[in-house]
Amino acid sequence: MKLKSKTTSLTFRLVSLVAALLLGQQALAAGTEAGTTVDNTASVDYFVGGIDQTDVTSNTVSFVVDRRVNFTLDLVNTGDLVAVSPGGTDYFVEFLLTNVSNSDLDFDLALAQVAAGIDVDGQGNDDSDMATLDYAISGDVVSGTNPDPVRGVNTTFVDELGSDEAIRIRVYGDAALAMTDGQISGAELTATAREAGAAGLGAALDWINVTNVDATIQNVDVNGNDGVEVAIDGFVVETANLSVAKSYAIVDGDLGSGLPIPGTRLQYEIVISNAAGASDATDIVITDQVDSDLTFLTGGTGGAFTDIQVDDGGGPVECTADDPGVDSDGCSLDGSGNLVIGDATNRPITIVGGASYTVRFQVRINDPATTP
Amino acid sequence: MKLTTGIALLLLAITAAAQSHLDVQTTVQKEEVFVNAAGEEEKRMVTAERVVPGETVYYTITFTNISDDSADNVVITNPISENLVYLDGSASGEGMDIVFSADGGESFAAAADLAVTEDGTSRAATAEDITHVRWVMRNDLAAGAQGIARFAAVLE
Repeated sequence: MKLKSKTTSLTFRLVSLVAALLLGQQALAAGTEAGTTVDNTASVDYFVGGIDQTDVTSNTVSFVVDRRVNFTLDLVNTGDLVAVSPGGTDYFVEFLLTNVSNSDLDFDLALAQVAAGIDVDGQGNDDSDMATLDYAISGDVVSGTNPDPVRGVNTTFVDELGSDEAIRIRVYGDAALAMTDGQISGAELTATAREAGAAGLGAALDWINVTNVDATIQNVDVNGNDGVEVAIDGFVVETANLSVAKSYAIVDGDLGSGLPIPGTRLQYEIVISNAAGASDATDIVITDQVDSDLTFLTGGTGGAFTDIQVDDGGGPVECTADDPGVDSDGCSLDGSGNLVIGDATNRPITIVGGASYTVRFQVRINDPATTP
Repeated sequence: MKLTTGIALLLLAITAAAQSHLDVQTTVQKEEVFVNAAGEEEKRMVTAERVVPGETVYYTITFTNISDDSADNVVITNPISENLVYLDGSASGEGMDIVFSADGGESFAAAADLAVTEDGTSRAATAEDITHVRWVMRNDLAAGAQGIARFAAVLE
């Protein structure tokens, strides 16, 4: 309801608008400010014997506007979890706390790890905990400067959140190195409305008691949860899930025994697999120790490959087993039997989820009688 | 002594002339839900002392002719408080024509005819535009007679 005239004169309208703004919180989405007194007075104009009489004014009847406590705690990103890597730090999920009460309110905050088995934002059940969990509140409301929350700053409670104002809260977590692909960690944030009006966390709210009508503003619980809202969001580990299998097969020289006796040529196969659905494993370096009782067979010394065969699924290719630094094919074998395959520059190895990488090489079991 | 009596009579006359023919009383109520003896939810009207935004309040204006003279052209006017929105269709009063203002009480019209001018164009007024409700008695209010005007509004 507006009292200003609708016969529009531009100057008049501008003045009215400014006046309305100066009046402040009178016509909000959240409603008339708590504590406001609303008056009503009727008047009667009448005649007696054809003579207009002095208008009669009724009593002024009044009521006080109580506080309608209502607010929401929403996930800023719903329907997905924040992807984390084991050992990674400073991941965060973000919540928006919106006060739609007709009054400023303080909000006490509490944070907890979600218990195992509880659904996290419809993405799966919690089955792990982030290593550390803490929260930080933005330094200003959404309609103001709204800076990003900074981990470790503003970590206590929301002070004097205005009517129709919202503020962002981030919950931060770190992922332990031991976490595995697919693990889900939920974070549960609870906001509890408290009295506003002074610096510091206000007192708990007393709810309206219709038989106890006193002079102070009473609180009506609109959200139906005694002024408490809870929201859950979380993190999911997205990492590689590698397994390694090493095996050997007898090629020849076993004198028909089927046993790896001295003189036998063996072919080793190392298969590294990344489970389907896992994240890419990158910058893989494979190392193996060729036992001193074995002789590595190069292409020139009777081996079937020159000298090492690798296959990333696109077909076998070969690399040489020479000393590190001799060439730049990303494979090497030093004098102590250290076999290294993979190099960030010369032979970067990536295994995507569901793929595998195979390494093959041949050795001969040293025959004491023939070793020079 | 004569002067004092004269003054007393004069004062009496002034008082008598200042005394109104009508007594006007306003009340405000709201609906309250309670659980009755049978355990069922029931509604009743109670005096509205505390209201939250969104609730409806019900005003009742009772006017009584407390004089010996008949009053005519009786018109009751009620400005709607800034924080209230008139509840469409809620105004009532037996034997009264009801009109509304959307311009701060300068002009009044029946609900169906009430219009506002915005940005140079005219449109039908809505409940939000109403600034005053007015009841115009069709007949005289006889000595000792009483009339009741009602309306409701929603607290913003």
